[in-house]
Amino acid sequence: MTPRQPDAEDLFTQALELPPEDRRAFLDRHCGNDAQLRGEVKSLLRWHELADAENWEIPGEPDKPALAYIRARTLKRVGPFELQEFLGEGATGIVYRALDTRSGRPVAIKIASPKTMADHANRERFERAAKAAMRIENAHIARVLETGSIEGLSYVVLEYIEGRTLAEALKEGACDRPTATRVAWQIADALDAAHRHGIIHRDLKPANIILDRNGDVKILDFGLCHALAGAESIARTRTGVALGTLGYMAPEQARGETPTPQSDLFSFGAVLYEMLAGQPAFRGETPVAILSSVLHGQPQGLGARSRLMDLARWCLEKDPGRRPPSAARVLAEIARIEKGGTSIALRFRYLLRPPSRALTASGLVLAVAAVTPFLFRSPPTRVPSLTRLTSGSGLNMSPALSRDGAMLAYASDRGDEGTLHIWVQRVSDGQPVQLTDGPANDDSPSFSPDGREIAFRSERDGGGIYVVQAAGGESKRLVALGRRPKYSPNGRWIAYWVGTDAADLTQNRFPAPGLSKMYIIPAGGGSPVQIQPGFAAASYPVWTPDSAHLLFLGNADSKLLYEPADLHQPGAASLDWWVTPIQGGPAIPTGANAALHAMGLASISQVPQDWTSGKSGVLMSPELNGAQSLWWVPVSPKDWKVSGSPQRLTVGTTIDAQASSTADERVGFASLHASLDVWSIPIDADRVAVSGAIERLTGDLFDHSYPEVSRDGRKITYSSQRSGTRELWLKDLAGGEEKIISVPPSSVFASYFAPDGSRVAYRAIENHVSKVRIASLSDSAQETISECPAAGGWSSDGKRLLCVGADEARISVIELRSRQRKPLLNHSTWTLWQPYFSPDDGWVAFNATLAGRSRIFIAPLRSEGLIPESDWIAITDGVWDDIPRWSPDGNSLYFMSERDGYRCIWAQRLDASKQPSGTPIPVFHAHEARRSLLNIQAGVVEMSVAQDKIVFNMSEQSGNIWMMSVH
Amino acid sequence: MPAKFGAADPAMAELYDELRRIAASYLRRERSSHTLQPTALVHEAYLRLSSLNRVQWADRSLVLGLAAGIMRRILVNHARRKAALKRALPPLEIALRTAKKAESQICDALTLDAALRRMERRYADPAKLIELRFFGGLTEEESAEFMGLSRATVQRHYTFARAWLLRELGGPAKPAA
Repeated sequence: MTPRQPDAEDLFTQALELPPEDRRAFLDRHCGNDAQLRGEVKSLLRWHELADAENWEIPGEPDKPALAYIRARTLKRVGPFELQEFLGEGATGIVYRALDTRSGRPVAIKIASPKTMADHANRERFERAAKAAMRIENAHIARVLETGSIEGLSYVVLEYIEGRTLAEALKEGACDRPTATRVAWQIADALDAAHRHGIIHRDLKPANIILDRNGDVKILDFGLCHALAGAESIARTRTGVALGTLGYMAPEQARGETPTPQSDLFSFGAVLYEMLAGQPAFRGETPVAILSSVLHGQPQGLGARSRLMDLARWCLEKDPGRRPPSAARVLAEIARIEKGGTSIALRFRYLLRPPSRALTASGLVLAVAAVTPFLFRSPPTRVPSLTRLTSGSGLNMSPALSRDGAMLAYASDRGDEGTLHIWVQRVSDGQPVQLTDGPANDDSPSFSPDGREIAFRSERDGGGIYVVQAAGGESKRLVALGRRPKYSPNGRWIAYWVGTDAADLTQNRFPAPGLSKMYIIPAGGGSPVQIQPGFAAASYPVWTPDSAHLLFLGNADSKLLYEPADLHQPGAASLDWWVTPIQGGPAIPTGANAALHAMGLASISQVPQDWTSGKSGVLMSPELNGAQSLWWVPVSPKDWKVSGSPQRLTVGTTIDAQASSTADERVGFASLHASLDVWSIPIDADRVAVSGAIERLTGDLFDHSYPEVSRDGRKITYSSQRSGTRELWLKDLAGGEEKIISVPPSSVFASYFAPDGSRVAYRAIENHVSKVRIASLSDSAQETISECPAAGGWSSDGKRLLCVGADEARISVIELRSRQRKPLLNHSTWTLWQPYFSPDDGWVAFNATLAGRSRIFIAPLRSEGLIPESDWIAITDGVWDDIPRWSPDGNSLYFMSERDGYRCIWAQRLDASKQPSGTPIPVFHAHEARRSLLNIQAGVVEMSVAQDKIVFNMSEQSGNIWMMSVH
Repeated sequence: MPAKFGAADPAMAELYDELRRIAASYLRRERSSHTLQPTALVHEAYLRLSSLNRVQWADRSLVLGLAAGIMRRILVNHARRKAALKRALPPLEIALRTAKKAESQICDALTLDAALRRMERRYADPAKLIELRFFGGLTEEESAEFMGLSRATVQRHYTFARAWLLRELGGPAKPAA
């Protein structure tokens, strides 16, 4: 073997091992008269010296805890613990059943997620709390055996208990009285022991209470929850997990206050109530509704009135001061009830209680409560009221309250589905009046302080700020391009910013250098004045109460990059909320970025929303674990510095954002939600003639993706996680029946009906292997096609199926009986997918994704071998065309396209030789603010064509305006 | 390139879907965020896949390594698409950093991709390494495992690629000749 000629890299590497003074001679020796090679190595050596001297790095090292966490998921072992079974995953970590190889004892091990551990303070608390929990010796608390960390991963080892959770037990209905008493006693006993050690559970709920094989209680997660930011465990979105937790949380916890032992007693009361009544004390269809119920509602008086139920209600007092003074007291009460004795305390309290008005409006309950003598015994507490100001399933967003809180303006699409207009209503009677009109979206209203005028952003004529009388009238353009106008409190100015982005539901924005500028303009019109022109980016101005300063999200340094990761570096001081005088002068950094960072809230969503005047501070809605809640950051009016910890105001699993505050510290905000459903549009598919309006075919709390329709248009399938895993559902459109047709434990994605509708081929992923399954609809038989990782369309006789290969770029066809697979299409650089047979089996339509473009082709089938690229016919040339589907007669192709800037459904007619004929025809435009095909994450978008309808998935955003008082 | 790279795991198709999905949502959500952290996306995708489907990915470095290539394609496609649409959107930018000076060298995804393509033609391994590290966030150790090379070799490739890339991307200032 002859040694290969050294290349530049070899020489570079070898030269680096020599002292610098010897390198020249080395190159002379080895490059001979190859001047080019010599020059290359020499230049690279120079650049290397520079890189070394200045420490240049190519980024890409991910944060270590995240990697370690990933490693833990794939590891079979952590320290001496052999991981045996995955038990579950929460917001805070993963739990395994494990074997302690030292003792041979089964244990449960909880590995904390890096998110929890990223914050040093959090980690310390976690470890301290776990150590404290180790000290508690109580028969009803799952014991913490040890804590530790390996490779930066913190873990806690708990005793492993066989049994089931109380949550599972409660699915069977209420407990009998002796059981309820026994379980309640044991929980209270555990709480008593923990509280004596100064440990608060914070997240007591049926899912955390295990009944072992003897029916005895073991409470999980004791003390560990203490380490976690109050509501983190409930901020789980989509899975619905959170809905369960909210209803057991004490009102003060829901408000973000520090929990006390009394908070645990509230949770205890909710658990006891549920054991007796057979249903949760606080329920609701949405997180906000549950929360509202916890904050203001009274549990319904279900079942026989009993002293145990009285005890539950005592624990469920909204005011912590009115609950039992300790867990020990609860034990004493249970003991008395057991003995049949009389509890003076219970009698006394409930004789004085106002009649139960379980379902009255919360305001009324408060009013009645206020006249009872109780409030005068303990210091009166102002309970925040939470009121919904708009209703309906549409999109109501961007609230603006007038200074006196009497009027509400907001953007809504209720008048004209799809287009946002400004509406105004009195807060007290709530009759909405439409103020603006036209085909363009209007958004971000702001009231003048006298309540007479409303400034807003409109997309009309290229976008700008407009003003309209609150009483109605013509809208007048104030200035071009501006976004999010805000009247100054003295009414003289309107502040706004100019930037490059379009409307975004959550207004998550990020101040990249050069992308945003901030202005003020006289409210009556005039010339805009740029504020802080020296900033690299300045956006989202908010007025301070003196009308002389603006607080804004700014980036002072044009060189500093803003990756999300940068926000987590406290040193990134040039990005902050800044306060600037409008008359000129330097801007002062508030320190908000550092404060948010300390709370784990530094994120791309740290947009300041409004100033609260009474208690000086700023409202915002940072993102935490996929949900956004309202927070309040205190900012001192003396030095414009953040003067305390940010406080949480709302808790939920959706998006609470766009806060607007009044002079008396009420806050309006939008609670926003997005869902993904299957829709259909009636059409004569051969004629490309739409014959009616779109219709929603699915609708519940869950997302429904990958829709497919049978050729006769009578049945649909879709993938949904309703049951926990991603399964394939079949729905009969006439009868409405639905059933699961996939086989567990697979996770199901796209599916395809056989032409006669008797079978469905679907892509399933099982044990990380992707395969195709065919489900027979007549006899539920399942066939596995492991030769195919993913399916495409069927041949007309149902005997062949298109396959998308493992290497993505290859499309093949499989003979279902013989399982013989023949390659059809391939390309060296393009990704080919979504193959579909034409109705006559003569052609295959597919899309090819090539750097930045997705294009639709059809190719003629031949008897043998790959179809050469020269035979392909390009059907589209759009920037992004996707998902080709044939009309039943094979003379048109339907597809999704982003050719007009939105993602819409289009069709292309084909002539006899299958060449495109004419220009594409729009079939369904999804240009609405509320409903869109664009907000769907790309992998999930799907479309299917039958003779009489097209079925597709579309996301729908909805939202309503709420009002609460802050302090 | 190790042999196992050719024998692609069928679940890669799902990984691709998931990455595309996450990237799409990420890029839409932060349309004005001009600098993206691809490694975060790759890891997010990985975590989501493993939690959503209870998939226990057996070979992490293989998955992350493949994801790096996919992510590069997604980001480059995204950048091309934005350019093609001529929307007034900022290009996706990517930063090389220096720890010593508070300075970064910014280039857009397309420029980096083009540079990597040039590097690939002559120096395949260093180019692959940059892809793994930059787009996939693989550590040195994982890169070595994925590429089937020793850590020392990976270190050498890195040193070389860094000098090469700094030169090709224009660098902060030319070094003295």
